[in-house]
Amino acid sequence: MKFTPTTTVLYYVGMTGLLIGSFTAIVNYGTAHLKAPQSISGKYRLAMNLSCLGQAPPLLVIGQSGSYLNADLLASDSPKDRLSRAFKGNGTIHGKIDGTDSVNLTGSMRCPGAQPVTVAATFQQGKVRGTLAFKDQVIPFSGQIEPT
Amino acid sequence: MFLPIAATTPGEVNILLLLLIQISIIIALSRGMGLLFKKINQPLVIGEIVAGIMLGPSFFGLLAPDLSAQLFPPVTAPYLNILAQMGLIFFMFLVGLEFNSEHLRGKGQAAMVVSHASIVAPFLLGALLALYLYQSLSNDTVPFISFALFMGAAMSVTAFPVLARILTERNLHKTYLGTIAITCAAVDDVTAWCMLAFVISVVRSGDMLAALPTTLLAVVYIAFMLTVGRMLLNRLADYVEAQQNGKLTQLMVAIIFVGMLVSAMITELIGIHTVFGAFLFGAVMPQRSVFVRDLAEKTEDFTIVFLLPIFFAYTGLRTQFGLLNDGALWLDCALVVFAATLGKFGGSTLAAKLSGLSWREASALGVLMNTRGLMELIILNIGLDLGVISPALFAMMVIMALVTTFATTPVLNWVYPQRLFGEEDALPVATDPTYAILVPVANPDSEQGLVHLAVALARPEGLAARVYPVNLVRLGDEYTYTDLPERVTAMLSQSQERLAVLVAEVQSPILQPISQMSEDITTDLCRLAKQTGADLVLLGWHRPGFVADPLGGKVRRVLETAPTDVAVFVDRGLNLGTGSRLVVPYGGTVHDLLALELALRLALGHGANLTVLQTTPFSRETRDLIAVFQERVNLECIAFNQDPVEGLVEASRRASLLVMGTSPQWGTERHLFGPTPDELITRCQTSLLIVRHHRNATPHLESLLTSTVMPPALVSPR
Repeated sequence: MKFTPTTTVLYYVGMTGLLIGSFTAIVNYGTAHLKAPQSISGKYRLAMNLSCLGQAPPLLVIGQSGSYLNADLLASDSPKDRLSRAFKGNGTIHGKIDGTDSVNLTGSMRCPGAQPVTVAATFQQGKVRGTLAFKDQVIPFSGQIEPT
Repeated sequence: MFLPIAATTPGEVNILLLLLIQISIIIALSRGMGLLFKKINQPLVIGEIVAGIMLGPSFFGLLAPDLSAQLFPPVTAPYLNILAQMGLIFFMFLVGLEFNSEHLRGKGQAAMVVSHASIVAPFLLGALLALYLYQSLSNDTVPFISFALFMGAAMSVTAFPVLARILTERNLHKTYLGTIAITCAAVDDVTAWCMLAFVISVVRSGDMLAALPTTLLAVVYIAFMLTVGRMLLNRLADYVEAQQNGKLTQLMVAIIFVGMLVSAMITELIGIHTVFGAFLFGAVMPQRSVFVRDLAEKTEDFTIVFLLPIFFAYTGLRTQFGLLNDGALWLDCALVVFAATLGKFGGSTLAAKLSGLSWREASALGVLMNTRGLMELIILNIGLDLGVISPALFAMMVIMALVTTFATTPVLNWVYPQRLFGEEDALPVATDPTYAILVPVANPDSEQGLVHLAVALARPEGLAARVYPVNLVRLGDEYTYTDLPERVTAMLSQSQERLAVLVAEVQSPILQPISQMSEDITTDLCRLAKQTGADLVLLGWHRPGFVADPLGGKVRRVLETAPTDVAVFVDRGLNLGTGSRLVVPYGGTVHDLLALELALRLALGHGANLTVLQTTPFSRETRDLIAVFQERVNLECIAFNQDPVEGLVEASRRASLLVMGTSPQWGTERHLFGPTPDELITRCQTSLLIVRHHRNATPHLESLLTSTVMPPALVSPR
């Protein structure tokens, strides 16, 4: 196809119209109908006692990539690299967050050796509340996000 | 094992020591991987990106988590980040500096149309993909509009430097396809950075309306730089040209760098990014050859060798393939790669086809435009910093950048093989020369003698022969300013001028010079030998720098891989004429027979005397050959029973030229025992022509025997 000044103008008008029209439609639809999961990434200090994680309240570290979660349940005096491990995708507990605020995580934690663990929790405005299923026990917990 | 640096309290000294260790590892690995990837015909930058990823949690952190935590502790990350950001600022300044608005002028509407289609299609596909990925890979702190805009911008980018390099490596930059590709990439470059600036302002403000003040300020700043900024920089360039012939003093470089940093600061304060200010400052620099080249050369080595690998490493440290720990995530990753390729490749190809290119050319353009390289990484890092993309999406997009860049060269080779690039048409190859010699010239000291010998060898054919002096201009191993198409064109012009001078000096109508860019001299020489139908490749000899074998290095590779016969000329002032004496040692090999054929050509052309030193009885073929030419050449055969090297050195004292086949017997071939090539080349007092026969080559006297009754053995390949 040879581009004459007329066809070029028509082409650009068409392309600009397509771009603006399509993008506006996409954004309108996305804004109206799509809801991304809430951001819950961070370190939560849990109010619960778990002797294998030391005397101080343990930490639930959550790394988040959209709805995919990567977490660790650790003693609060763990080395820095272990405390940031979940943010790098190398945590030992995994799960997803859906459109609601509830989360289910499964994996393992050191207590003292690797032990299977399941976490069911609800997150709201920097606070977490839930239960920890571990060694045939279900331990309730609550906690609050630590400032970064 | 624990490093002492990590054993003490982290203080300034330890951090400095750690940084020095980190940077040393980063630079060494980056260069090593870059060169490794060059070996497999991939751009150096791919190797550098892979090196960065290897140092991160996806490889090193996975293999040796403790050592990785010691070598790259979180405490040094901010310092690496600052160095990486400085690297980006300087690199974007270079990208701007190398952006030539001439690329956008007079290239026809087709190029502009394809450029814009190659942005719009991936942008819309990126936004469509955002609909699918938003709920699973974003979170509620990111408004959908920011996410969609960012995905669109990230999909639209093309790596101009990688594309320019691929084009120049293939001598494609001056073809119609190359011109369109360069124009498209240049338009994409400018559009992508402007679009990114807009996206950043929207992401930081939260919505389009709130981004309006930032956008307006950005437009005002761009207008200021294009008018006042450009005028001031032009005055600076005038001053530099008047004072120093365009050469920059350190004071001028300091002024320019301060200007660039201020520009980066202003765009950061406006709310777009530092990289945009640096790019803009580079783009408005006056495009005067000496001034810009000098500035680019002063900036690029430190930026590309030191700072950019730190950016790659910093990117690698943030790239966590471990996050893709679910089959669904890998499917999303495949979708990202597919959408990116479909948008860029599909959009460019369709638009190019509509604008009149053939399907093959249009596909080649699409493949080239799909190269993303490090430009994509720059955008992705900004997206991750702004929190607009999640770490898992960042990892997917890094994979997409790697896959699309890595695929470019092999897919381009498949879609548009080198033989179809139109080089055959571009070569000044005669329609059907009876005899052709390819003469690579690189050394001004020896090139005249070499071309004179080639003309002498072709002389018996008269005007029906062709001698192709070829000068291959080599690109460096890395990305440099000199890779730019306009610089390459200038280098080619210099090469053509040099060959024109050589042709004028030798004064022969059968000379047809060839100048080309080359990535791999040996491979390109072999390709040219095939394309020109050369009967002989005639190389000049100079002592190789790092190998003991005097026929080593590139000469050895050509000797062994050329698709035709090869001769290496050691010139000690050869001046052929009536009465010159040619000596050929004959030991019965095919290489010796080739030596005899070439010597006969020289003797026929110049009336020279030919002496054959015979250690074994002639084969039937050789006997027939000598019988045919016995009456036309003053030829004598002498039994030769002496020590080969001593005898040849002695014979060379009375010869004008010694022509000999490669053979362990004469010391012209590597051998465990016996004389060495070095010994003969060093001790011989006369000029030498060392020849090696290729099994499919045509005998060199065939064309001279058409009027004579030919023994069958002389007209077919040996």
